[in-house]
Amino acid sequence: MHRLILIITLVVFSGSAYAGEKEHLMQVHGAVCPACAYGLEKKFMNIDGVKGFDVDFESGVVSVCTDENIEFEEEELVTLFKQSGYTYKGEEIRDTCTVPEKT
Amino acid sequence: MLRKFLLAGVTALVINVVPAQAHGPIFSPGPETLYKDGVESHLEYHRSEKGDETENELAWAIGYGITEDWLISAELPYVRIKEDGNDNDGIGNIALETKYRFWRRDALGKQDSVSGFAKAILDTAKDTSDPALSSGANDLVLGLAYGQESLIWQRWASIRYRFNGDSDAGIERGNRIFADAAIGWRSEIPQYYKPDLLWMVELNTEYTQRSEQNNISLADTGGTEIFLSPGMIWAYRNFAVKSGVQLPVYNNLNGNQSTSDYRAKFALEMNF
Repeated sequence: MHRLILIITLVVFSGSAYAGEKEHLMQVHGAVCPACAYGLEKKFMNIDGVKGFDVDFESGVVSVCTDENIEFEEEELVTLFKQSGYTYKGEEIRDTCTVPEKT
Repeated sequence: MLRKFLLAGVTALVINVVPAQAHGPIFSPGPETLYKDGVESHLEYHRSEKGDETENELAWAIGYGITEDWLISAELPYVRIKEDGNDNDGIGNIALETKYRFWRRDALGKQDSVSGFAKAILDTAKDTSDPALSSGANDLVLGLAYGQESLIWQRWASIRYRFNGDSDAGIERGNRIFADAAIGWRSEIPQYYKPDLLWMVELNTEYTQRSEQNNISLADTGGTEIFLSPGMIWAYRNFAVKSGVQLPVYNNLNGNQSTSDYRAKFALEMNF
């Protein structure tokens, strides 16, 4: 019974993790404020399959939630960050999304 | 009449509307540009008082990022000037500007950059009424701006040289040099989905050469004014509100000229 309650609780409170999605964590240099990072959000959100975007300025991590099948080429990311006025430093993938989903 | 033209040259043309500044200084240019294919709409109200002269200006500027380093913009002002009990209003001088960021160094939570810019201020305002809305000349501004932005502290410095054209009245208006320094501060590291409040203070120096007519220097022209300018920027993602006031702290104007009482600015800015 306790296990069942635990499972239900985890399911109910794991609303920010989307099924069939993944999170791309990209290291960025040069991002210092929300107003200046908007160009990044706009460029990512224009890509089909991208569902959420966030920036942690302190750690310099841009988080992008996408459909599971979306993969970015490194060259594509270098260009996208460059055209937004920043420097791309690398990417990691996480199985679940934690960033706010755009509606 | 001569005084009217000179005053128009000093007042209606000091306003500095520069798009792509959502995170830059309020009264002086910063090195900021727009992302590639980005569009910025900037609406600004400016008021200045100087002796018995009051100027109100509402200006709309739009900018476009050709690349992440190259910005072009256009500015359309509507001006109302009141002087010695007379007032006049109408379209002011339309300005076209280009800015190029030629150096940038990115680090974690920090960006240093330098831009050069050129601004053409066209003689599009009515300059026949009293008081005149324009000095009747095309002017050109060239400058450099440096910025170091981090998560808490921001620093900027800029210098501009303004080549003032000769007025319709045959006056060789003195050129101008602007030197600015600014510091910005926010109390905590910004978060992307939360409003960002940045406090700012600038030191704005303006030096104007004496104007001449028929190779004779005009006594009541030229000089130096320095302003201390507190301000703030409130921004949420692609929307920003900016306001500030320029308070004169030093002046050394030649002859008999009114010194600035204050200048105030309120701006709304949105990126697309």
